[in-house]
Amino acid sequence: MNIMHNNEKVVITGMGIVSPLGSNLEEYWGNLRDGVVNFGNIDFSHLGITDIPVYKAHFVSKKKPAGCIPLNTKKKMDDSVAYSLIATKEAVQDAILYDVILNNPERVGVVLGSTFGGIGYAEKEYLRYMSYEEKKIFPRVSAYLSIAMFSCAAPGQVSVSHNFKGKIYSIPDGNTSGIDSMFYAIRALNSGSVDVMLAGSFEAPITPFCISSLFSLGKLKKESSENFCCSPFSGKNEGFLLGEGSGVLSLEREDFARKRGAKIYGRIVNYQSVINSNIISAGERCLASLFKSGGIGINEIDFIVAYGDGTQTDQKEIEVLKRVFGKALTTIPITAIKPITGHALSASSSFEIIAGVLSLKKNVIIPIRGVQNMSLIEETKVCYAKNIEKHKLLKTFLIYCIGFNGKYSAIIVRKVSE
Amino acid sequence: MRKVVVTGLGGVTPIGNNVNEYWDNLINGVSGIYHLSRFDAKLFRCKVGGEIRNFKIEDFFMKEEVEIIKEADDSVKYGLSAAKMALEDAKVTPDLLVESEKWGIILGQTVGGCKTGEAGIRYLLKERRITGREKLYRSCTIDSVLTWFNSILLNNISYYGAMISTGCAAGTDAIGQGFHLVRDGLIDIAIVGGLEAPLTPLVFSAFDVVGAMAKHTTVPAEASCPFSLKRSGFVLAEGAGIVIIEELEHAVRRGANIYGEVKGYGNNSSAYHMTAPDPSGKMLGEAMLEAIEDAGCSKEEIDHINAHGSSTPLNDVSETRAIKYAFGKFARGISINSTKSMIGHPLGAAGALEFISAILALKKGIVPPTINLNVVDPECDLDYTPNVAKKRELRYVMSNSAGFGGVNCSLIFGRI
Repeated sequence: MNIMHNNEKVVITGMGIVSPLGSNLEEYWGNLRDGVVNFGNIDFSHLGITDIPVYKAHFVSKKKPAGCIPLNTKKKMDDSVAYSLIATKEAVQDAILYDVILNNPERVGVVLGSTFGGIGYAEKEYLRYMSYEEKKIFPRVSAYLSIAMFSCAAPGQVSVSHNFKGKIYSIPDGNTSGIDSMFYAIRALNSGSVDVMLAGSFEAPITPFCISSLFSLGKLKKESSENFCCSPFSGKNEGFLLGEGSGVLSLEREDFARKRGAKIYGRIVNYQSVINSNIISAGERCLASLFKSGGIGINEIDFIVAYGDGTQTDQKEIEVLKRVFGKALTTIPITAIKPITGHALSASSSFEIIAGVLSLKKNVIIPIRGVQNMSLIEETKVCYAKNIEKHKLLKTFLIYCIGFNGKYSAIIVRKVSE
Repeated sequence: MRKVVVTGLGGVTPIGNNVNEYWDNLINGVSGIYHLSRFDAKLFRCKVGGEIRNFKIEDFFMKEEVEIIKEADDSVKYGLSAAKMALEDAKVTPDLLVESEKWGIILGQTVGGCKTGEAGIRYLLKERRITGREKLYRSCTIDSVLTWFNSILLNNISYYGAMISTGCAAGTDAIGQGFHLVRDGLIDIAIVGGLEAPLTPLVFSAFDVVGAMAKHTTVPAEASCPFSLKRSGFVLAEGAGIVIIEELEHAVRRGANIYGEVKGYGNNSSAYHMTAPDPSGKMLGEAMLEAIEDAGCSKEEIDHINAHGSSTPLNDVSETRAIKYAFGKFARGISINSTKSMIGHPLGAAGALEFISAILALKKGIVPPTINLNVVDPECDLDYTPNVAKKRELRYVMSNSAGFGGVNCSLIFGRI
């Protein structure tokens, strides 16, 4: 499927992020380059839960986001939704969208995705619900619960607080949400019904329920002797540690962006998404079609931002790349950033897009951290960005994400000439 | 431009576990609202709901399939059954379930697997244990719904899949998204619709505590009364509505039965308030106008609107204003109805079940009624087809949804 069917070009004009590596672009990039990890211990002892199989996670620094959001607003929403508000604010600022929003609010839309939505809020309220149930009285749960617990809370809060009256979508698409949100944005922009779309994903999964469900999927790493979320492509398949946060991008049609003199980070060349219970089939079909329908050659790709979550998916991921890129894989650097960001599920896909876009801008490829002394899967046939950052003139990159449900989504982003 | 037609319908609803029964009860004004049986509602202010009754998964699937499906959340069970009926209605045979066909699955769900989810939360809070809950992710996360649909219905072939979760408008948005994807040639045939099973204590208490749900529930069948002066909130319900849409030539080539054509889709945000609708109804009206423009028809050709009509004091007035905003002098000539007066509000499934009602209204030339409408709110002064179904030749029909977060959606359906 080629979504660029009417030859409109969609460009990235702004970005915003809340992540364990920092709650703005500058801090994020700095820590990404330095390989700084923000670790913390998971503690559910206030709930009496002691059988935590996972001890650590990558946390967002709680000081800064709290400063950005007034407390009375904060209590109305889950952390994940607060992250999406902060990230959107930065993206709006970065793209300097104030006049556009002021003059034509119905031409600005939002699409945000998440796996668990406001589950953390629901868990806390469930504890309260149980106490009322025990006392057999009217369950006076939080009045904000109905607007906090569902994943549509984020695009709702974002549209209300910024007065976006254009398209609005909430996409609970799992890990691929960040990339899939680009698809909704591009289609909305191409339909001509909006001029700007804020697209991204958000997640706050460091809660008992999320850990319980992911642990049962066999995805979480039990031991965390090293200070990294995971060791992607090492073949150890130990799993990953969780992260949290939100990433939001501002997308516009190129002509619109140029006309208003916006800074342009890059153009989205093509998008593709395929689901198959066999992830190798899904990935192979997805990438083959991505290149074919986009009219792009594999040799045009300067680097790949891989999914790399340190589970058995790693092997399949590399198999897909081998099938699609063949020998070219020995020369195209592959990076993965989950070792330092943590796996923030939906939000990770946006973290990775933003990392890729910043790499394009700075002409620097971030290495995969924490795997220096390990031998990686088929290392002789794959060019892993393993040890040090690579400086190189970068023009085009591929990024893909893989969902636990067998969804494989990918986009190609290219730098545009001024 | 490619045309997109409807070739199959399936529904599991509080007033019938198949589309024929659903339609018969719709036109006869039968209510599916009863005292809650899923859990003890004694503590709550609202004590009624639109539950799915007499539903047995065994009626739809073979033993081996039932073994697998039993782990899924109720919403998924309803959804799979509705989809199975829709696929049969569309005469989808195994030779269509191949890699060379461009399939899509686009579904709306807002709450997700809350029955399995709440049981999971209860377990870990009561037992104080995180480990030991197998299959929790698959049984309760929204993105896992696609896995169930693909493995049970599509024979594990590759497809384009997406879930959408725009509150009470999710089912409408899913159909609209699928419609545009088929029209633009990205896919040729798709399972679209919505599924929801939100009748669980926590979800119920979340809506009850803010007084969003009906308060006068002594006579359950009268609790949902859209556009009536007596209305006091919506009635939470469950169900699933599935529609098979496909490209016209694709449907003709394989000799499928064609209900008609999906014509237009509009979506926007009120950016007004998280739950309250914008009193002016302007943006909902704009969504209708966008759908009309997308359909390429004129305002006066819309003869029937299946309203969001949630029975909340604020919605029904603002929706009436929205219809007037969009249709002007034509508003009074439109036969409007609210399906929610009979089935309640199944959130993410509502839009899909209402679209099915609108499709059948056009096909059969009958507008189902809005029941419990004896004392009309003077601010709701349009023709809501009160209490009794009305025979009318319909040219185009519209189905509207408005959700929390300020989402507004509109779909238009007509003859080819």
